[in-house]
Amino acid sequence: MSEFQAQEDINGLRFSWNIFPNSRLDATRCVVPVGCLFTPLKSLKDRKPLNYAPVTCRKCYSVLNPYSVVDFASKSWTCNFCSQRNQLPPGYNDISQTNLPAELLPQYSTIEYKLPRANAPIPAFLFVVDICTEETELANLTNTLTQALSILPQETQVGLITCGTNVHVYDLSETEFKKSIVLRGSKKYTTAQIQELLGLQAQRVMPQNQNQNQQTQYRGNISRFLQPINESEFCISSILEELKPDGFTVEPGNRPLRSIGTALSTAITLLSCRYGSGRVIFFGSGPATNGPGAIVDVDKKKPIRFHHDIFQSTSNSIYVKEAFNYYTELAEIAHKHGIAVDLFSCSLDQIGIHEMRNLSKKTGGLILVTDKFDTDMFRDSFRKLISQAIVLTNDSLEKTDNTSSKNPILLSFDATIDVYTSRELKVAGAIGNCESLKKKSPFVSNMKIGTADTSAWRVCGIDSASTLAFYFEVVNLHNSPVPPDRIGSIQFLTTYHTFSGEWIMRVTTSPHRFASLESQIDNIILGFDQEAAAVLMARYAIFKSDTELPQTIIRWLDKTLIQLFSKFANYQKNQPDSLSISPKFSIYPQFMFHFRRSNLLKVFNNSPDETAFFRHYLLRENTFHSILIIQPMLQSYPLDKSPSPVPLDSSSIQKNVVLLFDSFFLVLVFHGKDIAAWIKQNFHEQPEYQSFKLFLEIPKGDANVLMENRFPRPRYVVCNQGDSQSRFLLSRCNPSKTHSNSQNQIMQSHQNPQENQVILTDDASFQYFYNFLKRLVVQG
Amino acid sequence: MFLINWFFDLLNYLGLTNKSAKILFLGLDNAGKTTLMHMLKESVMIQHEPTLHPTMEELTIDKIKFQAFDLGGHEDARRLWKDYYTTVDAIVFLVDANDRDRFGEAKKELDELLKSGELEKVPFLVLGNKIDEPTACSEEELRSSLGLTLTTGKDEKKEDGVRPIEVFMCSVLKRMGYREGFQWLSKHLD
Ligand SMILES: Nc1nc2c(ncn2[C@@H]2O[C@H](COP(=O)(O)OP(=O)(O)OP(=O)(O)O)[C@@H](O)[C@H]2O)c(=O)[nH]1
Ligand SMILES: [Mg+2]
Ligand SMILES: [Zn+2]
Repeated sequence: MSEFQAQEDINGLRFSWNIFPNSRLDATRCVVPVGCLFTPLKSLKDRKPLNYAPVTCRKCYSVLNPYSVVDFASKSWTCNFCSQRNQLPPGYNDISQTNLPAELLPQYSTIEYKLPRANAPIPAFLFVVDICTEETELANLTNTLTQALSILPQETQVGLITCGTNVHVYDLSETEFKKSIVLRGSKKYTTAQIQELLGLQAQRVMPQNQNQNQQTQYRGNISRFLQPINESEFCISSILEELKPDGFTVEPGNRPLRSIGTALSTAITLLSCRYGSGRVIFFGSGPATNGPGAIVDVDKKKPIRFHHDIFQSTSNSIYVKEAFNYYTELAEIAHKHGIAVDLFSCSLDQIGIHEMRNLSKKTGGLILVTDKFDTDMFRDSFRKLISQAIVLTNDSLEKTDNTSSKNPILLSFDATIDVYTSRELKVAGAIGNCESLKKKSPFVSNMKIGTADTSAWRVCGIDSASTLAFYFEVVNLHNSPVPPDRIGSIQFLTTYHTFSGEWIMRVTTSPHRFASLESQIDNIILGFDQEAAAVLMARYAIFKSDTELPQTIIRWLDKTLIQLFSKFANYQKNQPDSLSISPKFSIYPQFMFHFRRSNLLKVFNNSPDETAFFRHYLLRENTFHSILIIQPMLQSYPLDKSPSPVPLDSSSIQKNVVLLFDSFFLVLVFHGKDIAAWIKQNFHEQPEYQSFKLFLEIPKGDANVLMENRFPRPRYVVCNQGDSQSRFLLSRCNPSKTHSNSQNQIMQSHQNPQENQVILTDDASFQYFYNFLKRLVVQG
Repeated sequence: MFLINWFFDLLNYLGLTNKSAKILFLGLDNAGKTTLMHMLKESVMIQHEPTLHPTMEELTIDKIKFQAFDLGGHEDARRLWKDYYTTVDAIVFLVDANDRDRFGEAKKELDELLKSGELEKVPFLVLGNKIDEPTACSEEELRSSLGLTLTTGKDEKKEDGVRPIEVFMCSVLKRMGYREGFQWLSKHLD
């Protein structure tokens, strides 16, 4: 799919339809909405921000760009979004056809400006640690946190809150005595009460003028709880070292009293009193049982709610709604103050990510669900989050050239994304980890998809992976379609600050041609990006899953697939075999097939917490990773040939190969039966089989490369064919050979060297699904 | 208060309350717990991933309602089993009858469960699964491997004070054997 890759490399954009249908009716007939996946902070190669302010339209505030019409004679330009004529500023007097500033050159369709604003303070990191856990697990966590303190830039302000029966906010200003302010976990405090208890009545102060040192502005009582690492490292490390599991005895048959709701509300209130953005990072080892935000009774007789309970509203689910609303309100406060909330759930059982998910979703925070703190998944993921910060500070403080395009993820803060559309288009909404800024503008459509009714969104915690989906409406009516020569445009203005505090505006402007679905259907087809389309539909489906049952969503997906094929395939009525479709659409049904059976939509055997975790990343990742989540990648390593990608199909599982499987969340190295037998006989340890040893190392090396640049760190499994763990692979493969269609095969397996893996399932195979699709389509 | 209690007792006796029996599906990873759960729920064979978090489904087997908890069987996850013991009405313990290498491990976990004070009176249904596999072990072999030579008996009536435990061989894939097991179990539910 490299043809659409160029647009993504330059602008961080992937559109479902790269040539837009020219009327609203035609857009509806195209079934898949006109939309794009946009990665606002995608790493740009060899680009550094311009050192002057952007030229903005005085009416709509969009930015001068390569598609604005400039009148060189009068030194003026016409806004391509609101048609306002604007005078160019004095600095542009020398402008001419041959002397253009960078922002007017087509190759600078994405460009960054360093805004002339006072630097934002370095963000604060507030750790919220659940102490209702065993001593060893708590030690695993605190060790990781202590290491983090030595990695983070030393100017970073950090703070510590613990949560058990009560909530402790640690005072880091005293090195001699360890003091903390205690809040009752069971109590629902108002923001004002928390502020009073912490002595933070004074509202946060904005700097009066740009030259003033902000440090002095917000340094008051708050600095007791948030201290730069270089001033408090000793204090905070010794607090961490001495941290003990919650001292309150837990009655037999009870869960510990765990006050997550109060702890998070305290954390968010504390950070919101500080001028500047930050992250609340929560480490949970069990469910909230105490005070506001509790998700389950303390009595273990009452189990934590499951999908069944939520779907059927059983008595187990009585806490869900209230807790969900509670955390959503907290999320809105965090969002308002530019605070991102990360949730690390390290527990064998659920802790309430299902209820808490909006905290991360609305703020651009990260989520991890894994078994314990003593895992690479936790340690490595957390280290990645932390080290993103250093990469950036070193980069911008020491070097001026931006050659570090290798850095996979850069942590930035408080991003606002404004969307502008030329008159043929309006923006219908966004789906992703963001929140509406409720900006009413002429660019807002009446059509609503996702977080709608606005043309600006905020992402408090943003990095170079964060990706939002935007959906658009074509405005023109069918009887006055967009003229064929007309080029429309969309502009994304992303304003954010880096870790070291520079405010940057990134401007991405993308031009669009239109075509008629009737007379130029071939053009429309050529512009179809099936990967982007599948991801935009998948995001839409996940958005719906907040209010609709999975079965309903699957039916909707099936219906859209049938409609899409009915519109774009060629066939004779009632003849399934006559159906043919352009290669532009040929893999789309496979994506839908795998998406339907993925654990994003099939929730059996997953808890609500797990489901929330998986879905969070489909709402965050770019097209490439989202496709991986929808349809995992499988690569085969035969003994005698070079490795190559193979279909995600049971026929790819053969006894004499090694497979590398990547589903984004899990990376698995799978040894076919024969290979496993040779390993068992220790062939790879014998000098004459040196090459076999080397052969075995290749897929593992490749697995490491995949995991290195991934957040969160995937679960890593090495297994043999037939092993318990091979179910991770079998469950995701297309079951082309099953127990019911391969009886004879099993009998003959001894003579058959190409013996294929049989999957014990009654699930439909892709072949069956596709034939069914064809039948329904040709029936009309 | 007395009256109300009496009333509920009567309802219970008449089998009219909506209370369903709480059962746990336990056993080593790959034994077939989730496969069985799905089969009982949807009557369809599906290939699942290893279970990480516990899940629960409402099942109706021969008109008896169950709240069935499916717990992960891999080594780490076993630490969680005890969190679900309270108020449990029965344990369904699955063993892969075709995986002789792990009978010892299965026996160890089963013994651990049988020793637990909290489960003292709870009936155990042990299912030897996957007997469709040609190399699967027989009921006798499984019984002796698990140390279950003396069990309640498949037709015995409920006896007070003794924990009912019985072995049934089954194949979820072939949809056979487990139904008899659940019929036996329902006779021993309080
Ligand atoms: N031949 C055969 N295979 C079966 C049968 N029942 C289950 N299996 C297979 O055995 C494996 C068992 O998988 P699960 O049901 O996921 O196992 P589990 O007990 O839930 O394992 P954990 O979740 O890891 O604790 C799957 O690959 C099934 O296809 C059966 O009756 N016969
Ligand atoms: Mg399972
Ligand atoms: Zn304008």
